[in-house]
Amino acid sequence: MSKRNNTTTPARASTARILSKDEAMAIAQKVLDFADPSADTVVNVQLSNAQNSRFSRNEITTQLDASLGQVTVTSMMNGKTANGVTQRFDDDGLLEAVRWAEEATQDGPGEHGTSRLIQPRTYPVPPGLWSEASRAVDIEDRIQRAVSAIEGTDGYVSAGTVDLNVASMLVANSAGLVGYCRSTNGSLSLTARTSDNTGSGWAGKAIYDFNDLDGGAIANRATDKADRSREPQAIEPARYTVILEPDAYAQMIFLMMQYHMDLQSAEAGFNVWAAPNGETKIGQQVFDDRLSFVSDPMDAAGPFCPFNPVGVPFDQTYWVRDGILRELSYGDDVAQERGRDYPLANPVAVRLQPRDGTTLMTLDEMIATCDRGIYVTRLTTGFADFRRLVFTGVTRDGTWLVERGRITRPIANMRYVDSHMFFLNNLEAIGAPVLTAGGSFVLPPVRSRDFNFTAIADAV
Amino acid sequence: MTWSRRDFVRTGSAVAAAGLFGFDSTWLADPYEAARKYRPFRPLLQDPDVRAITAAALDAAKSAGAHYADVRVASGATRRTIVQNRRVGTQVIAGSLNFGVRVLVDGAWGFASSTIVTEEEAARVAQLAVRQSSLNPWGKTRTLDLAPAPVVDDGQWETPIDADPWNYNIQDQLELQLEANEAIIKVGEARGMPGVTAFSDFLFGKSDVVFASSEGSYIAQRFHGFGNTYLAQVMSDDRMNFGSSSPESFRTGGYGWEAIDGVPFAADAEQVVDDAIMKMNAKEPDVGRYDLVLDSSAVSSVFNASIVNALEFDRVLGYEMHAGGTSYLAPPEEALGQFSYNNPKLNVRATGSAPRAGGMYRWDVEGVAPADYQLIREGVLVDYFTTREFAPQLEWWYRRNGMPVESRGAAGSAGSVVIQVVAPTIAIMDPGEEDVTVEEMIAETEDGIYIHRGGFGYVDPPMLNLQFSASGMAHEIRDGKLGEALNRPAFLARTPDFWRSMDMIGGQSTFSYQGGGTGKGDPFQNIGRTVGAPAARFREINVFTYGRRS
Repeated sequence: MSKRNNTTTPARASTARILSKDEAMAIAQKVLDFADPSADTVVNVQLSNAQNSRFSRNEITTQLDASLGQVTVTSMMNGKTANGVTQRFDDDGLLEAVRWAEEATQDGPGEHGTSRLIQPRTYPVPPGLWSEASRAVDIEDRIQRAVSAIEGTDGYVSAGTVDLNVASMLVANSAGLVGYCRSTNGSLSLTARTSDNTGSGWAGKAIYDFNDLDGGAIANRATDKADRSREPQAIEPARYTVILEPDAYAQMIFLMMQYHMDLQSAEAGFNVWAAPNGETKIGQQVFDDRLSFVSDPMDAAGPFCPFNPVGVPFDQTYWVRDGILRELSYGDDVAQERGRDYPLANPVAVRLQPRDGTTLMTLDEMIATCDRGIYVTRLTTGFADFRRLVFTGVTRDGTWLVERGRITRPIANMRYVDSHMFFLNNLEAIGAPVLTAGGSFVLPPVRSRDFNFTAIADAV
Repeated sequence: MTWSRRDFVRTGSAVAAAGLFGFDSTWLADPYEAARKYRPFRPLLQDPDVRAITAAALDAAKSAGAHYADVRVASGATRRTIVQNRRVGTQVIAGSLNFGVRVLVDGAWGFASSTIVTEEEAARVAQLAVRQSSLNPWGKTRTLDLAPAPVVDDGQWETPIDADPWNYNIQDQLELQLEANEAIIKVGEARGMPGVTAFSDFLFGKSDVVFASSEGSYIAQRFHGFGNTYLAQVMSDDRMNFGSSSPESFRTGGYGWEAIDGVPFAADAEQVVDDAIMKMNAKEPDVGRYDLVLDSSAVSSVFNASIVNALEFDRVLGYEMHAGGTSYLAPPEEALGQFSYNNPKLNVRATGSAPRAGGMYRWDVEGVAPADYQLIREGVLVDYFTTREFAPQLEWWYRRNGMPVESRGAAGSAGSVVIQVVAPTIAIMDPGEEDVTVEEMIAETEDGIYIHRGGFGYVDPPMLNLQFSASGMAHEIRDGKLGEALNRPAFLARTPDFWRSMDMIGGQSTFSYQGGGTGKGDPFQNIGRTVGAPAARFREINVFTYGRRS
């Protein structure tokens, strides 16, 4: 690595600017002061810094540093709710956002509603969510990670990205609530292809502490997969046992959490948890009884901010416990019916946790104890059926046949039509959950029966 | 982290979008100007302060060593209202004000952006962008010469609209929306479907974007747009089966208040509810090979996903291998003039102008006016969508064919806070010369399926594995006549095989413009565009169904 010598190098310094609690509160207080005193007002103040270094064809192609601020005002007045949003932190900008929201709560048509303000409270500080080391990352540190990844893929065609986000968020309301959260997270992921373009490998890692990113190690995992997936041979599409790396099915879990966890949607028949006649599947066995889905901002592997943009606390929530659907998210109307102080909010971050006492297997052990199956590292994922939560896509970046406890050969990519709704019921083996490369989801590797491959796919 | 959202955007479905009650920032959402009662945002177009801010950014970039720099300052507003039946779910007015600076130092791009729009911050951000690209060569050095482009020192353009939506307030908007929903509810009740759901999501956006470059261009454009979802949904008695249908009452694109004012939506309501009921009760198609007649909206969806995306030159080069996906139209030296869809009926071109096209601009996000040019001629690849960065790489081809070595004006972005990528705004598949109608195609089809009023096309990288599901309407065709409605037939095809199988193409009367888009980059950018296509017939396509009940 040679450093150019004809540019002056400014002092190393972080470019990430966020708001401290006091700085953010000063902005929020102005909004509350500008607001109509007869309104219930919620204000959310965010300032985040997103940085990345992107590389393609073994070169850094673009670098990005974006400092983005946003203030969201929620006004509840006259039985109505409305939002005003601005990117300006100056008085005029804040005043505009307040007026926009309040104007929309004036006389006008339609049925509307409001919800109760969250009362003043404290929120826990999730351990590991904030890293001073990440906060202090300088451009050179970030580029260094990209360079080590590129160097680690020498001899391959590689593309990837190093991301770092440093963010601050404050929520306050006219009842006196104040909540502040700051976070650092990032990732490095890359795809490496062999020079003959028949082998491909993908690897990635999400972090909170930038020091945990090892570009060379991630590159090695990708190039190893690329080597081992060269010159694949087609096998007959059919139902096979699969061994799935956590990243292969993270997108399915995201789509479930993002679009299928609302109670009223289930009752209306719109999501996968609907049961006939306006009932839901709450109380029913929906997954293998060794499995629980739990969201917890204090999750040691995947912490997240402990409240939503209007201050609703994210408490530890078992959506599914021992395979039985227990909870779906709901708003303040249901909360009031249930005598609860606040809604059950969905953070769209979840852990798939094996029951205590379950024998956990590593990926290698899953392979070693598999008579015949397919080892999948990555899938593309699109909806085949939104309502039933069935997906389709293709395998990518390394797919192998496993026979009598060994990986025997790379196989051509295949299209699948399947879902975790099925394969988490056909479970043969499960591993220890890990934070997936996209963040937010802490998932175990799994081995399941009868995964549905439908066709050979023309892809690398 | 952006990964999850990024992958969803790629796989988004109309149903999922309809279920969203959040605020979403698409191309419309860059936006500004207050509700009319309160100090509307000062427009940027003639603003001397904005000129000073762009100058501060460009001067700082040049002083710090940039060979080239451009800056975009954007100010915008969106007004979005979501109504389910008679209930207002969301009403948001969102303003934005931001800028981004792109610099080139020794062949490496640096980009930085901020929401603090002052001269000081502009200089800081420009220096930061330069520092990033100066450090680039720690990796590997590259050379990058931008294709020459005419300097436009006083460019001005505004989306032509009839009536400024910002002269109306949010209550006016809701009133129309509630009337539209009411029309559906009434028909639903009359049809014995008291559980009918009417859903409408209206979004007006307006933005001023000023582009300035170190070469001396200064371009101010004002964009207007309207986006919407409007649909009827019916449920079976047990609520386990539903059908939905979306009329084209409200148009999406470069519209003002006229997009919703005076629209005869009530006339569509009966048809829409009946279609939804028909879909709910529709039978599954029998799996097999069929001749498919696709209307313009369905062809557009497949065209956008499988051809327009593949023509984006950054994908061709592999730049999107890790993000939006690569292209099968690669490598260029083997594909240009040689790759053929083996179908002389397939002609694709780009144009700088399409009336009412969503996202249309006079100059792209690097100050280049897109020209009209051919991309696929009689089934053969002859050009790509390029920007100033990529056009020089095709010099060998352009020289050989007497074509200008210049950007095709296809630079786009999801906003001024993210870097420019290849994202053309308008792509057209030409209609046939003879004015063949959909009815004629159906009349000449023995055993087929007519797919109309939309559909969802999705292609896995490298844009070769096409899947399509008929999210709109579908009917069987028997002996030249339309038969029963079908429940969401789907098909899978290999892209070149699919286009080769196109044996009839509709004339101008079957042609329409539809919304399309591309998803790429990191951070992921979802960028809208307009695609135009005629109806067409495709022979012997494998049709199947994902089924309906668990």
